[in-house]
Amino acid sequence: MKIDAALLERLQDLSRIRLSEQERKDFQAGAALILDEISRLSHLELEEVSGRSSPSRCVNVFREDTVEPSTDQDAILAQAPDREGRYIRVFKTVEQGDEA
Amino acid sequence: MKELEGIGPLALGRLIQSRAISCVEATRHSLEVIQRREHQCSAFLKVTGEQALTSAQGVQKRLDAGDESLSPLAGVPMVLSDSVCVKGTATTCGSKMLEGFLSPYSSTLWERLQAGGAVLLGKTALDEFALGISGESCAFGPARNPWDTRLASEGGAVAVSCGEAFYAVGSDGFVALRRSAPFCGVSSLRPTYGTVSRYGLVAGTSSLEQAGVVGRTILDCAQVLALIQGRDSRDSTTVDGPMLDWNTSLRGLRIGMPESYLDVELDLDIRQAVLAASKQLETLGASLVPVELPLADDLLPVYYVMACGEISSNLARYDGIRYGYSAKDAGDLMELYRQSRGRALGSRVKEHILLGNLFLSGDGGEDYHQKALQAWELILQGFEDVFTRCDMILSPTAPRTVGEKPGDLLELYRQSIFTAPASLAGLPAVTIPCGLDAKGIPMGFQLTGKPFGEGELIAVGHGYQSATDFHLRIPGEVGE
Repeated sequence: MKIDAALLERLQDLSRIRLSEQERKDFQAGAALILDEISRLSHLELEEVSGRSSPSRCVNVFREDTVEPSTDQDAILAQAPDREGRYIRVFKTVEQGDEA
Repeated sequence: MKELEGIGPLALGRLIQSRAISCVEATRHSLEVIQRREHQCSAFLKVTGEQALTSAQGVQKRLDAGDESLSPLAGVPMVLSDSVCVKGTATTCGSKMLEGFLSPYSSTLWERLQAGGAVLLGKTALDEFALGISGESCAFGPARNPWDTRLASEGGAVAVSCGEAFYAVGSDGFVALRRSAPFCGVSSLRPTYGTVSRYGLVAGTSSLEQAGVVGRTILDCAQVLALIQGRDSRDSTTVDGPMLDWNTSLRGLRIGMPESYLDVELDLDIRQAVLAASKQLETLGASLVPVELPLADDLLPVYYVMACGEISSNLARYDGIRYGYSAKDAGDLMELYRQSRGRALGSRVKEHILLGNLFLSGDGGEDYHQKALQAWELILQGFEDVFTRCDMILSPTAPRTVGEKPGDLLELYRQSIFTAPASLAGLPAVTIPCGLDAKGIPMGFQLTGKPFGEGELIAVGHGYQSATDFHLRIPGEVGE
């Protein structure tokens, strides 16, 4: 599998990351070697095997439904890069007329 | 204080309880060592000296008042890796993305240590988001191995090796903690997945990572694990494992020697040191048996695909909006994401995120991810079978004593060959120093055990350390 320019662009979009020109070159070279190593997985015959999602056997975990103090909201909001009062300020994403 | 050099946390705890030394004196000792050695070793991202002294005074008051909730390690100065959240203090996880972030809550493991009277000296350096094998990729510069300061290392191992701290707790995410400890001449313990709560550890590879402990001896690590282990309602993967008991006899224990490891290209010094260690374990009563690891040739690809997938998913939370770095010059939301992540995340982290998205999306790599999850099941079943033939597995900790080359993804991947299986299968492992190579760098071996087999691993490690002195050597200071 080869990561060409189009696929790299798509992966940057999915990752919400902009790479520099040098990073793009380094990634394509490094990823080619890694994908070559990983390609051996395609030879495994695993049709009968179900996948795993955790190293431990998952069981339902219950706890008492008790009210406990939550994390301090002010301390959380204080970490936001841009805020107004008790709100985190973000770019407008909905334009007038977008409502369904 | 010369008399504190080289002693373990339990011995110091006894001195404190007998009032031979106060908590404040012990903390001042550590801060003096830090002042003396930090310029060479850079173990810390932040030293919190004033807070440590205040904390030591508080612990001393509790001791004097007869507080029975204090642990045997009360008043002992220690460090956390900067992936462990402590309320109100900076937590960067080695990334510029989290520079300036103050954690609004504490991790469960720190709450448990604090309740027992631990004195925190500061936070230590680690690979960015624990994604590495030697601390090399820390965005604020790596810690330096005190045995050869040209080599990068995980900060907790460095702090213990230099005598700056009496023990360290951090993320055994990729494998840097377990790999760094023996190369710094100290011991490490990674418990079974689910033994220690991950609540408040910065998440990277959630299925593979677990908190680990570094100490001069493996018994030091065991004493610390006893304080932090156990079920936590805030981490649903935690369990109450069996009581830690390391009074197992080595006589009759079967130590597996994986046949696939014979073909791995190793430094000759490491091969000889691990073989010598295996002979020593035989002398102590254990028997060596050949074993075959499940899907031995495919363990690393499975590990890598899963690690990339989990990193890409976990690190999606760093969006420049809620906390962490935010690009101030972005013109719209998408640019804010791309510029914030592009600028503040390191190259290695970005590479893993991109590969993770390849494996998780419908762009040609998804078959690898599905295969990896299926192979994971076989690997976990395979280890169950291996542990019917032996009680633990012996291996080196890494093929070479030299660190990784920055930017070399394949080298990073290959250097994980001995340490990745325990992470992948959620197994406990200990690493133990077992000699110096020709360049004077400590080397180590690893024992990987069955789930909740920590006690046996500690017993064997302790038996080995009772018969050898590799763990007692302290690196000299420049100018000595």
